[in-house]
Amino acid sequence: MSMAWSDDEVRHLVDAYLEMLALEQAGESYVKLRFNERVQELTGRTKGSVEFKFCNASAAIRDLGHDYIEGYKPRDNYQAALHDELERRLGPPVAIAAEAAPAPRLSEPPTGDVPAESSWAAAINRIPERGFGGRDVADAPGSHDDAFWPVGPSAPGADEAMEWFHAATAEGGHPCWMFLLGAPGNGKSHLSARLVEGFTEVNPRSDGLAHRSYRYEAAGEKELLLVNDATISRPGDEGHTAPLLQDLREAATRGDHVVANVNRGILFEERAGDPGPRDPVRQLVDWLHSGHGDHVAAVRQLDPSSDYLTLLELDVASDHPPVRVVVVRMDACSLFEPRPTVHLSTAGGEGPNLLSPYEITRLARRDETLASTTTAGPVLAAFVAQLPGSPEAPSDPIAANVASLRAVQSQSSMLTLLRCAEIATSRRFTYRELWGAVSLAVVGDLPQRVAGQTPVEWLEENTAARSREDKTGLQAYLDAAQLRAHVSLFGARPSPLSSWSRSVSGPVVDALSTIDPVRDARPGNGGHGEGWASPVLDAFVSRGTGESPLEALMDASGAGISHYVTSFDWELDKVFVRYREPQVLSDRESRALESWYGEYLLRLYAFAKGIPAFSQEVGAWTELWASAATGQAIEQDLMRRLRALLLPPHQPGQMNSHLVVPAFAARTEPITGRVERPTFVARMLPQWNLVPHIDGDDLFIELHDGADALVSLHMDFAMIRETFACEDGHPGITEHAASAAPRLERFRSSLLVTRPTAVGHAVADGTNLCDFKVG
Amino acid sequence: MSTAPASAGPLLPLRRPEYVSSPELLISSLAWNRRDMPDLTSDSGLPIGLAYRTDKTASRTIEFRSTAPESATIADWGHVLREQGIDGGPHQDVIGTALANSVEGVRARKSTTQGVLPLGPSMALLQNARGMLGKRNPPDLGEILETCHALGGGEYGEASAAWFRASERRLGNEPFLSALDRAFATQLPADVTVTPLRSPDTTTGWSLPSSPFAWFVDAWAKLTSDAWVDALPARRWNDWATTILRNVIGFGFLWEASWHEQVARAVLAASGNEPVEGHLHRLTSRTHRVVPWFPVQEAVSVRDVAGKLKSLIARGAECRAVLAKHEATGSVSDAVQSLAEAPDVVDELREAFRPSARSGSNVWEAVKYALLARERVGESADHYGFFESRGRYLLPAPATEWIAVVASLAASGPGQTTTLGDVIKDLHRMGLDPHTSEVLALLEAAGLARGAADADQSVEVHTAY
Repeated sequence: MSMAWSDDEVRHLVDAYLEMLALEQAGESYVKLRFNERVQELTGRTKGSVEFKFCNASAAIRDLGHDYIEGYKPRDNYQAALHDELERRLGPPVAIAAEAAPAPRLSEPPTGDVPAESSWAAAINRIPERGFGGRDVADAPGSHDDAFWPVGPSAPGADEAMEWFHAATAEGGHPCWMFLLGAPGNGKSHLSARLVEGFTEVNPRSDGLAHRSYRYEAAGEKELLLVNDATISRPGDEGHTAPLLQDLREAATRGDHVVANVNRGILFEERAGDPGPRDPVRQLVDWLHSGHGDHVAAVRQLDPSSDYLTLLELDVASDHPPVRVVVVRMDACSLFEPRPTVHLSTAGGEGPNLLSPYEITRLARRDETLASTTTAGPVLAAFVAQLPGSPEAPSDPIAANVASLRAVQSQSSMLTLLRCAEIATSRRFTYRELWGAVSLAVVGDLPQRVAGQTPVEWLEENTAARSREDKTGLQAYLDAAQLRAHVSLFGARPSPLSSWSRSVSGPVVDALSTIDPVRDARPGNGGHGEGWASPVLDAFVSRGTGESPLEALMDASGAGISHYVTSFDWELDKVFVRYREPQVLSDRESRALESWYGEYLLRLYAFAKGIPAFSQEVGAWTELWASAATGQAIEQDLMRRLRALLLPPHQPGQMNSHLVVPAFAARTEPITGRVERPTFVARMLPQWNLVPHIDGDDLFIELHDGADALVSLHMDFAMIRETFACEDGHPGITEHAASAAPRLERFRSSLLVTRPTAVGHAVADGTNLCDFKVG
Repeated sequence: MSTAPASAGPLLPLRRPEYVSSPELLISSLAWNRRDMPDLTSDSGLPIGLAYRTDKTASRTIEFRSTAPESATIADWGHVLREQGIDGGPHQDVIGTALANSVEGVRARKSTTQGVLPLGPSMALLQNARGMLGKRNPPDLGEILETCHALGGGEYGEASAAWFRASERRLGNEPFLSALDRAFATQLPADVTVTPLRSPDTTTGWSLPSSPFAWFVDAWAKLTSDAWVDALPARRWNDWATTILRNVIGFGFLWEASWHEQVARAVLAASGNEPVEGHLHRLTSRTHRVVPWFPVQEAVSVRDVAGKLKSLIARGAECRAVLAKHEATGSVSDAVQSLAEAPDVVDELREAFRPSARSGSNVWEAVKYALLARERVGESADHYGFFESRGRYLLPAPATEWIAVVASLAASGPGQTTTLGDVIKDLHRMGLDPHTSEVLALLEAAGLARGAADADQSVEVHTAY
């Protein structure tokens, strides 16, 4: 249970709610997410929690007899404080707009340099701060790094861009603008706070509030404008519909340097709200939004450039020197892939520059080096290394997690699993989510399960309970086991014998649960085309009652999991063996325990070795991406499967047999073999080629007629799963079929209009195709 | 801002629909509409109902006529095809059979009647409501659709005219389809020829911009444009057109019920000397969010809309009946005030909020089956449904191509992009209020959008073609 919202938290929520309501009633567009983020920052609550509370506010405001925000459906059972605050704030409806002036935001108080916590208990109790809903998730200028949380490398190119910016602005010549572009949680504010550390603020404010922008003195009688949070209105200019463009236009006129933290939603709103001419500044914002340089005469892209970092020159006016611009796309590269090498000349932005390409590592080639070569790896390693040692042997789950994660193999496995989750969900984790994952891996989902207790307090109670000889001892073990990294990260369901009854969700868990190894624990030893779970399955089969499955698993040749297994796991195993004896538990309880422990060991084994569910499919996706990046041919088996999925021939196995689809049917499902009754069909005449194509992390398969790309299909995880369901030239089916089948049919039906001259009319009769003429 | 004709009163001029098992009939009804056609009567004086295939020959009130080429005369059909330029040499009979088979429309389970795909003007006339519904006096679906179009601010008659223009464009693009349509013209009853449509009337004065009717006007204009006709294969275009018409019947009549209920509430408020502005405000400037749409993570019982929507239709039907009976005219505001001053009207409207179980049941069936996906997987899968039936529950669960149609038509044309925000605006006009994340998930599953964590409603949405 989460704690009730404090009066201050409620006040921040109501501020945001009334501001949105005023905008809605004035017919103005606004972005709900921005307001949600503001409340998140002010309260430390999660996005979902804020969203839910907004719905509560709708119910309260409705009950007070006022209109509510249409996008937040009323949810009753709200706390009295919410009702009271709204009642205090709302007079007659006309007063709403006046009450809803943007509220100033409190920044986090500077924490100063705090040494790493030296005691085990203090350190463990701090970890939930960086879980979701915790504090310390954003920086404002002037805040200082907290030594407890190691600072990892920034997004690829960001540190180098910052150095380039420092050097370029020190010269005092050309104005320089730096844009940090990306979603919240990617470290934009952290980076810009570091960037301005060497500058003197102009008219510094001491109101303790976070502001939209800050001004600093720079060389050559210039100023540096930092737009730290573009979601806050310009002071005294709340009605402006394109405040960032206004900031940039003013900076261009004055010749100021600019650093701006922006996201795509802001750029979209700026473009939509800009009534002004399509001047050079507007062209730059268009470029930032679209990422390409079509029809933007004032913007010149300099070489080299990449997805993650681009250097530009912007001609703002004929009598002004061009503005040098560096754009860092903070989320262009996965945190779990090797960092590209970047070198930017600091000689005023002139070459030589070097940007190595962003590359995705083939799953089969991921190894322990990733713990040091990726962006996330050093953060995880440094954090785990600096945690003080547990006062006990790792016989509790949190100490066990720390001990397991100290092994570099475990770190690289965790990084691999996080990367696989990104691929399976077509999402990219931010730094904020990385910390959420680290918190889960160390203290499990404990902060979400218990309120009013620190992790250490809970552990003390649990440890005492585990020593009992009755079933409450078993229950305490099962509760504790739920906190192990390999259980909590996948959001595994607790044992029916545990005191906890539900899984915990959240962005990290939701993503990782898609590759929960239990989903496809097929027999095999990880060879090509086979499963990986035999060592675990055999450990249960080969040993009878009274014998240790964990011991059997460890004995299995090639298990390679000793770096992860701790004394906590051995204790748990012993408890399992004891309760597995006949007559100790009821049959139902016994079966439930056996099933749960089987899953526990499956996940343990897979986590220790970095094996995701559907590893074959994830591996194939990475192979396909690598093929596209390097121009290599698609591996033969994969190509056969892709053809079977996308272009299965009318007569599988026959030369010169092409795709045939019913031309007038609702579904463009390929006809293979015999038809029940004569059917009018379209036959695709040429032998088209399938060519992989990449755009960042997105992978597409294009159908090429010579050099022409006819039609493209996004190869997300659902499509890869469907591809691997194809066997011997025939399509198969997975749980993704309901969404994948229409996309596939759309792909095929596009050919009917994309290349009508390459499509012939015919009639399928039995297994024959009869051509006819139209004249 | 919504507008109504100055003297129309608050009653929406929509006739009552009925359940249509064959969605292709909606297009055929448009094709039959707005033409000067002979009154089809048999030698025995019974009206003739046309269906592509039917096992029936006659009832007490109708004589059925099948318009599909018969297997017994397949050689004649092959000859007709050859005359129109479709020549399969020695396989002409097989070609003829295949073409006759391949234009069959959806066949409802247990139905003895089979529709035809209205891929051209002649093919669209191979069936009519009388034949497909088996009723002497079936609802005039073409008239209902044109009224929907007019309520959305379009011209009365333009829906049919736009479909006809799109069909002509298609036939101009595709010689084979043109030849096939000419061949099927020989299957029409002797008196029926493809005559020109009457020109659309001027606008009726209604304009309900935040309504499914306004969405219909925009979506139909886009789909019937040359760009979309050229971008979509014939069958796919036909399915998209049918989806729009299913949506306007389904969401339009839900919205109509909500409208009449709000009018009734305004009258009751006025009769108690309460301010009616809030009710009228909702009527005239706010979108009616008619269909509750909870995220898929919620329990099925929470997501279920069957009871809520059936009750809405029932209340709307009762309110409509009272408003129709008393024929208030003038502006909506004036009519509400005038009705509020009539005690019998007020009493009847109070009763209307306790509708009988049968109230509006025909409309509810029409709505439900217009929006319900017939099957989700398999050969007969319906990828264009909005509701999913799960036991006794009815859930908003748009099929993949339903969202593909709605999202694609939110863009300016094929091959273009739009934004998540614009797609949601269109959903609002249809009376839907889903969570943003729900819509994004649907678009991602349909392969039309890739969410960026920081893009919010500016997530780019690509058209399906």
